[in-house]
Amino acid sequence: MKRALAVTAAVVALGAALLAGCRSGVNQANDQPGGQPTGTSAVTTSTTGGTGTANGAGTTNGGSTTKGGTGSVDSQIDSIDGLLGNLDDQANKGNQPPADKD
Amino acid sequence: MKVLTRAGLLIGSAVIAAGVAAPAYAADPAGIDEAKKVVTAQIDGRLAALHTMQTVVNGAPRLTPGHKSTLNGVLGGDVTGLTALRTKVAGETTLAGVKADADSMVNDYRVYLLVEPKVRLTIAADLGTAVYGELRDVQDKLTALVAAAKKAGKDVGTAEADLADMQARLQDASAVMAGKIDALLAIQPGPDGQAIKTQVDVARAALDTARADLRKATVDAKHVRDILKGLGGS
Repeated sequence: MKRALAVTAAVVALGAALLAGCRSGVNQANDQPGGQPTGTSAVTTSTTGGTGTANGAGTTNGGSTTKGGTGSVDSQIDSIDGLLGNLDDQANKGNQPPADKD
Repeated sequence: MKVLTRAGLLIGSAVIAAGVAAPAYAADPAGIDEAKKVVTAQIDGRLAALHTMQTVVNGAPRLTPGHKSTLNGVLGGDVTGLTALRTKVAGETTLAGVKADADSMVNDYRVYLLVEPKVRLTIAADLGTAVYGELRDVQDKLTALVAAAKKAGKDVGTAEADLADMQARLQDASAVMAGKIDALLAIQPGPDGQAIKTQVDVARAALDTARADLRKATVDAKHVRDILKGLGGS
């Protein structure tokens, strides 16, 4: 009888130890900075502070994929060149009409 | 005999001449029909120009709503007036009437001398305003980037001087255009073509100066941008 109790106790102890080990592993997996699972953390970072966002690369406030951080300035200057071309066209068409056009 | 022959020839010539000339005078006494045809064609040319301008105005994305409304009012009014004048010309029975219509076509509308410059220069000025806004935004961004690069210990070269020149050019462009388009749009047609031309030239000259300023400011911006690119990451 004593032997049966001892075996049962040993099995329970072993189960408890295994259970504790599993819990430890799960917590370790979840205890990343910010309390997020690793995969989710990468997505969150990309959305709030990474490439393609208001604060990220390609803008003047953030990243550095463009040398000097001039990414959005480049596109704006391209836009300005286009507007200046249209401005010149309209101004030239608004020049003095021929003498016979009164 | 020779005298009789000559007399006969003279009489015959006179009869022929009278026979040719008489129907012409009967069809268009004093050339009224021809005058009406010429004036009508001139009105049609103006109407075609006005319709083209209406298309241009309605397709100008940078034109402010206020300017678009003002220009469409001018163009619509002129189309209505000239269309009525065209009908009036068709009903004229005297050369004096046709001449008065021709004077009205020019002096009451000034389509080429005034309306077309109003449309084109106003569209151009609003494009200039858009360029000005974009350049101010670019200037702010470049100023921040240059300051950051300088704080990081990098040699920004002439970037600060370029930005100062950019600022001055933008201020000049803004100042030179102040009130010019409002004044242009307020010019009314009339018989004194030279006076109209002089007033339109004020707006035209201001726009030319502003264009030159905006172009120089753009060159400055590109220069600063290139300097920053040469520095690598900021």
